[in-house]
Amino acid sequence: MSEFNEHINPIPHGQGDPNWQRLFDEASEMPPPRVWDAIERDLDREEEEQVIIVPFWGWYSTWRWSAAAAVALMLLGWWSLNIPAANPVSQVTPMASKQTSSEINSDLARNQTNESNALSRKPTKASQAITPENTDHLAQHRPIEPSKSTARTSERLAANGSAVRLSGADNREQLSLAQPELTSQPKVASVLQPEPPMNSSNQYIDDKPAQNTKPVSGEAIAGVSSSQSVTPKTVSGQPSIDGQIPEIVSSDIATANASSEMTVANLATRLVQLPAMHGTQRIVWFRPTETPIAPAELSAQKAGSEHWASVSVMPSSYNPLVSLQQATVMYSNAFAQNSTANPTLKSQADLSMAYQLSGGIQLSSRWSVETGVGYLEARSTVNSPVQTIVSSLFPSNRLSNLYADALNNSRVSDKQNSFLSNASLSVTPGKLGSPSASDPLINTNLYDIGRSQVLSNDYTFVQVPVQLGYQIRPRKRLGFTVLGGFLTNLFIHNNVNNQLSITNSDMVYRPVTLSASTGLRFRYRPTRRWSASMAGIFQQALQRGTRAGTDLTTRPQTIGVSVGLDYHF
Amino acid sequence: MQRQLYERFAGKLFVVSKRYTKDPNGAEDVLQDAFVKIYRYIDQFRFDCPLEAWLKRIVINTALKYLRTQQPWDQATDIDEVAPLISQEDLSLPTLNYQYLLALIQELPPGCRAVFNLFAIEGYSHPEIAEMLEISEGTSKSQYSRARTLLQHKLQMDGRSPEPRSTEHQR
Repeated sequence: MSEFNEHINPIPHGQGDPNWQRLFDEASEMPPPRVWDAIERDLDREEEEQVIIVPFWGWYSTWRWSAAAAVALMLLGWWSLNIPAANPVSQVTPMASKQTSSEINSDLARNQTNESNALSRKPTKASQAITPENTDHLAQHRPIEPSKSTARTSERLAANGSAVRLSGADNREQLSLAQPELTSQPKVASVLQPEPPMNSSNQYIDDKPAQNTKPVSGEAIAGVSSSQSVTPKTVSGQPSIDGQIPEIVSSDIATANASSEMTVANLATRLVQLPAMHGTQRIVWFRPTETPIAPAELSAQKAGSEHWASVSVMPSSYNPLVSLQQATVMYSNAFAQNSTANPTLKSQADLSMAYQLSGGIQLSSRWSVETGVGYLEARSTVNSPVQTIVSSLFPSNRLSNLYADALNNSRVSDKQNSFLSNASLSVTPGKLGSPSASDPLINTNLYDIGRSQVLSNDYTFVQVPVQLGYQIRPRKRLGFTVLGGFLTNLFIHNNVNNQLSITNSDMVYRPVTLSASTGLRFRYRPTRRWSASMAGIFQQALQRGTRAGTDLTTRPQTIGVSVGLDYHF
Repeated sequence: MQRQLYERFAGKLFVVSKRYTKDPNGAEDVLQDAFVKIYRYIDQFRFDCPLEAWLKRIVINTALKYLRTQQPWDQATDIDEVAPLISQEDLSLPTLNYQYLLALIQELPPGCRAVFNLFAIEGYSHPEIAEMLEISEGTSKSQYSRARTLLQHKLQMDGRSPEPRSTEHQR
């Protein structure tokens, strides 16, 4: 079972045993800590492996996020360009209100991972709220226990050779707060909200600043401001974005250190008294109301009634299998007297193209039905014996062969004007027993079986397929489906050698014919919505393609490979 | 956030993984793999079902995959055997705790264990189980009956189950 399918597996439709379900429904047993350690190691390893960029991987989502990131970058750039030069530390009114205190009183808010996450998503919030009081506030009241992310961040800084000098644990803690961690956190519906400061025991404290405000070292503030885009160089030259903070820090450490005195001076002369420390943000889980029955029904209905639309093109070989009717042996009389062979027509397939728009419905996990409308441009050639004597009397561009003569004789318009047609204009020999027996050309037109002419036939059909599909590998990324059904062919016209056009009004071909269709389709479905399919199709006409009474018989066969693109609703 | 998700659901999901595996180490492996997948694909969660149900399905699929790698279904000695005794009795559970029943389930052969979990506890139907395990529907039914028989027998051996009643229970 592939990983893709593990997330679209069906919701159970059985009932189960209520006794067993009741016993195990609330059963809970925490695994040993080593399990989480192993998970964390796996996640870190995945994070490192995700550096590889695969082109167009998840391109829709990638482009969407890229566009959002571009807009965010432009806004950040615009914001940085519009910062007043005399205001090195921008003062922002905290967004949080008192009412969030009750909301943030949850366990989820107390975890430091969330805080670093929130900082990584909006690093500017923390920087905007930092004042000497607040930085000291942070330094004092952040949880003292260093997290693994803090350690990793410090290691990365050390590895980058940055010359950050940290004055004590408080500064390191501040730096860790200022460093958004590069983690591939899953995107879950979340609400970003400010968070009041916490003391060392993770208790939320009063909004008032601490009374015993300690002086803040300049390096500590510089460490914060350099990573938080407070220094002028970082703001104007390299806007801070999520995921690039460590590099910016490493490249701008020297600048930050160099300008630390100036930053300290500005900070020292501009003491901003904020009523509360609302700089940090956190993620609050949003859990929708769990109504297990309704979603299960919806999902079941959705899984059972999946439908799709597809567009496909099928290069194929179309062979009409043209032949003369058995009763039409009169044409043999028109053959050369030294020939005893019956007249034969040889049709050969040529490249044809079928375009199709179709839709399908999944009836069950394996069965599906699909239909649509198609347009077939069928090309073939007919090898036909040519007339010898009469054809020499007429211009060379006139059709003068057995196939064309049979077609002409089959046309209603020709039959209605048989005398005129056959006697004066057409090179068609008359049929035995027909009024054209008095045709002066009868039996004078001889078909030379040794000479033949290749005539192109361009058929045009509108097709309406109805097919059943049986999936051999249901709900797999690469699925196989056996197809079988019927194909309704609506004849439009046939153009013979670009000289003779046969339409429905000529009453030669049946307007509607039925074909059987079968094939095997491979469908590759990399995403939930889109899939590509390739199918080998064989179609066989179930009835002759010409009307009764005509001299020709066709029973087309089509073999082709269809390539399509599908969208699943 | 990852840690909160883990701490909130790991307990229940660990019991789920233990139901499908025989030993604790296998259950831990399954839980570890399942959580890695959860973190990787959590953005595909569409909120069309409870989050816990979605997580549980991932754990179940991971456990089935684990069992398949341990011993493929088609090579399992028990999966295609016809149950020697098709039990139709009601499997009553008088005041038993889940730890005891969990130990009983873990003693079942892998195929029986998987089918019993999927049918009796997860609520999958036999056609769905047949498709998930790529076995026939009849095999799923026979394995379920065999699992019930074995459990009933063990409960009786421990003196924790009354005499079987003749009630039609199997679907």
